[in-house]
Amino acid sequence: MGEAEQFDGGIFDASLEGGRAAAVIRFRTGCVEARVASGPCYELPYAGLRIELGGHSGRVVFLRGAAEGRVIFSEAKGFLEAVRERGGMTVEAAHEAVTSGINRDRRRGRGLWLIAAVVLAGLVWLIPLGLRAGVDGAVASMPKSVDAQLGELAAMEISRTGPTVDDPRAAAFAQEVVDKLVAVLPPEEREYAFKITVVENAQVNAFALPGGRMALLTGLLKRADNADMVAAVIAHEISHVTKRHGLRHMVRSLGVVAGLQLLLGDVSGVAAVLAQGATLAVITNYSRDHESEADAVGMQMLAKAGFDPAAMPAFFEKLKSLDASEMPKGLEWISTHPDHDSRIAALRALLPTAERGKAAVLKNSFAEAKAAVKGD
Amino acid sequence: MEIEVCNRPSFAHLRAKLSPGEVIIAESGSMASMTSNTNLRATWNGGFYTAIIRKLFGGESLFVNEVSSTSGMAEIMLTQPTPGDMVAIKLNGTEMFLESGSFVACTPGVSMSVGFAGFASIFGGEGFFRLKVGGNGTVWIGGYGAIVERELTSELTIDSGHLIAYETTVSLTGGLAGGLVSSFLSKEGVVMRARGPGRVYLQTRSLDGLATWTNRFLF
Ligand SMILES: [Zn+2]
Repeated sequence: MGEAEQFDGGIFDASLEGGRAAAVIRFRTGCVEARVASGPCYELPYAGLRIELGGHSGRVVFLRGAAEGRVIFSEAKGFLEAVRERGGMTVEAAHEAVTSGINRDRRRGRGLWLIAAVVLAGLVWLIPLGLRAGVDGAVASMPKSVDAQLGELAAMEISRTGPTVDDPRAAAFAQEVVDKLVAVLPPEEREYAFKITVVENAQVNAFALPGGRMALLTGLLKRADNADMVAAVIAHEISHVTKRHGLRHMVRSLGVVAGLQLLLGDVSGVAAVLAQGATLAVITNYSRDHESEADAVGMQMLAKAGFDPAAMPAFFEKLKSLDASEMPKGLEWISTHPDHDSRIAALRALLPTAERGKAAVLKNSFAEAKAAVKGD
Repeated sequence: MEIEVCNRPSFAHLRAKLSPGEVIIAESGSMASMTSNTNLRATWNGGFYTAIIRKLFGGESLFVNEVSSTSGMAEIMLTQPTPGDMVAIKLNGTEMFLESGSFVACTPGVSMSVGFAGFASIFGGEGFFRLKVGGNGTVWIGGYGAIVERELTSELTIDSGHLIAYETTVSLTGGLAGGLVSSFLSKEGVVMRARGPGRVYLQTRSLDGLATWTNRFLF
């Protein structure tokens, strides 16, 4: 180690503007020297030097002179050893005091690390168990406005799917079906702003965004046999909204930390993440258990509103029978809603539990709505 | 560049006048007003990864605004969400940790990164990571209530939630002010002991009440 060895650090001294500055530290014969960027050089003689450890990390080495005030410090690697080497006998005692303290802390530290490791291992095992329950519980306690904000973020998904169909025969029909279904919801679930948009797109599909915005694709309207089938799909989508599947799925898939952030109400932060290319599918694709729940809840809703609950499994049968080559994109709804046969079976099994209310009478005609839209 | 803190101490805000070529970095969302010749450019807060880490662990925004003038003198007003004071801190190559939410603005010479603030920093209630500012320039921080600057000569005991900024030369240790049982029951007793050399900045009010309220949603 030669004279040239230097360390990045800083100095406290009353003569400096603001009382401190970054400095480059060198060990000279007889003294430590700190040179600040503005030029001046400050010295501390080895004689009477006190060495202390501290700072945010506990590893910042402070050198204090006999006189109060001037302190030279550095967190650089090898700084403490350099003090010892260059200061020699003069700093021996001060150095000894500090290093014995470090060794004692290291021994104690090892014990603490061991305890920390055991605790951490326990947490790693427990967290996945607790998290799902925790997330669901926490989502339940969040205000409904969060759903609306999320839906707002994803709203472009609707316009990206295709142009809006303005023809009142189609638009009014779809919204009337929605209103009929929503009318049978418990009051607290009716608070979402349910609004459906008919979108020109040949896919047999429909989707819901958190907060209540929904899209019905003309391909589905064209392929459905009757109003009950359309109502069946919409009831399923409404259930995604009322069971807050978008929010739950998002919290699950964005990871623990981002999830917690969202739970603390920081929607804008999550928005930034989404805007940076995280796919919106995070919001609109649901997990299988959410799909099953939406089917079950949707069927009850469908029946209670006076539609035929059998239309739900019937619609899936219909999709299944559609020839894939005749309609290349027709299986879209199935692919995002997988496991077709078991799904139909599960819905059939639920049929006896669905109590049908007074038969729904619609002011708008399904046939006219269907005729109003293009697309094959 | 001409920057002053107005309406101190209760509802402080920053008023900055920028000539062409002059730049100030402002926390996104702090902009309350600006003249039409102001140019705003959102940039990653200290670089992409720092921004993400800062977002996740520091609770700060992902973006900051780079504010400049397109022509002539641009005038902007920067505010903070909490009612309270703002102060300017001049950095001489030294480094500081800022608690979540206290950053308002800085001059371009100031570097921003995320630093591990030591295990005891958890007692500040914001996790282990802090926004770390360094380099040469001025940084403006805001607080809830008045802001008190203390040059540490001896050990100072600080109630958690009141510390908003401190130099990296300051060591913090967590502790309990009262007995163990009363501390656990009330949370009041969690304190930090700060030891210098270095400066700490304290806010006279604490967001702990609010934090307790939001933490209900965690589990
Ligand atoms: Zn679904």
